[in-house]
Amino acid sequence: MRWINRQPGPGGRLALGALPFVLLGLAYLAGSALRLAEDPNDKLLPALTSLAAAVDLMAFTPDRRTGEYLLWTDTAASLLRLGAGLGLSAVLALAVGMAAGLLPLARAALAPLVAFVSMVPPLALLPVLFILLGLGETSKIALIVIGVAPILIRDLAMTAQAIPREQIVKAETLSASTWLIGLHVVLPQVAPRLIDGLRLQLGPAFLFLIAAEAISADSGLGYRSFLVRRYLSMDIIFPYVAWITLLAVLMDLGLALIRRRLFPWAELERAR
Amino acid sequence: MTALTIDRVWKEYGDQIVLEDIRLDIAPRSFVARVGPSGCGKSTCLRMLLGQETPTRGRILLDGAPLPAEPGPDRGVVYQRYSVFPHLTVLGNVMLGPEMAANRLTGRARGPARRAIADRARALLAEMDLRLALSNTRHPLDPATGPVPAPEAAMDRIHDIPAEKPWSGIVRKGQTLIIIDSYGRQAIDTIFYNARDFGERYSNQDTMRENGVACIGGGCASSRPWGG
Repeated sequence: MRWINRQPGPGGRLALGALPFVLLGLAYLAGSALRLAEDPNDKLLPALTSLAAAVDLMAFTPDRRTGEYLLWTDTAASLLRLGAGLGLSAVLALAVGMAAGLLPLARAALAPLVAFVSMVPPLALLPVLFILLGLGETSKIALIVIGVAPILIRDLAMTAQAIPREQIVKAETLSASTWLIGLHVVLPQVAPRLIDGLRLQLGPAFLFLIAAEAISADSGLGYRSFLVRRYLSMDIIFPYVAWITLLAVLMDLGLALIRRRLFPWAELERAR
Repeated sequence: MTALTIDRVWKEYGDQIVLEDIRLDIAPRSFVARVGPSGCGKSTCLRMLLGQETPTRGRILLDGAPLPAEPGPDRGVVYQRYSVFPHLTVLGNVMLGPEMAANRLTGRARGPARRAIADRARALLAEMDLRLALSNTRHPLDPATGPVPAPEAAMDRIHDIPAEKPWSGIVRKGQTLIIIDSYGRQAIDTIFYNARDFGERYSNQDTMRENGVACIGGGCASSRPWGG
């Protein structure tokens, strides 16, 4: 049989999916063992035992100075910033994106500005934000919003515009006002797309969060990673990276679940 | 009763003339069928009647007054496809119009008013043989729902449009249909019907006349769909 026609079975699919992870893990263990055999004090590729000890220290041992469990305070601080940034972006995207998609006058007024702002590299604005908004939470949340919102806005505006004109006209002939068309025709149809947009923007949102935390913070996942970098503490940085990744994956899955639960009809449309 | 006058209407897109000097008086309660190949201007004419587009020259009068420049509840439309709302169940689709009319802020009726609308919508759907859809939870795109144009026709029929022959049969075939009618009025006024052909049932003008269909223009030339 030709290779293009060979399909993995259910077990085979799982095994093939797991294979790269296993290989990566093995490569790490081998590299770590080799380096540690050469120099027991090597910090670059710590052994599993050191990683476990670091996780225990960060997650399950109270900090000697503050009495806090650092991983959890860091996680709470970061998730709060991320949630605020993404939440604000979502609200902005719904309001501005729908207005630009639905109202030609709003589109004429907003589209050039949004297109312009979405091209500004957000990280280049970080110094400006720190100067204007101070080093506190506001500037970090603002960075996420500036990075994420314009893209969500453009995406939602395009989604709203892509709704078949026939639906809008139909609603008009059923006596709908502009407001009711927005509420009952456009909003429900762009909402699933907003969730998809948020899923795609999780990566950039984490990037902006960690960048802002690395520069100025007193807690947060990015702050801790960059703090312990000074001591080459790979045993802490690796678990933090894995934890951040896991958080992002869980958020992605959670958003996908919400989308399926709230908008089952959107799956039908996707399948068409 | 609504009389429609199409008075020397031209529609041009740049250099291309789509409709040329259309003159037509349509009596109240007419059924006007326009038959012609793709691209002969049927849909353009329909969009102008809806108010989605304006004639380049000439005017369209409804009871002597110029047609409003935007679509409104005085003119209904049943499209070939697209205009079912995919996010609403079939029942929700049929209920949307009356619900929006009931509350201009939320677009949702409450209590007994809502139940009355739901009952009427269910009755309409049952009459249109969409009992499958009465589960309330099914969406129009669900293959189990049935042909899509049917709920759409029900969306318009819920405004007290009686199920009269011959159009109730035609509507289900899934062609674009425009209904000139005052909102909520008991009697339907004028129906425009666009089709490339009428299929077997309305294979020629005689059969159509027997069924009460007024046919204007047998075929249509590329720039002169009917009238002239």
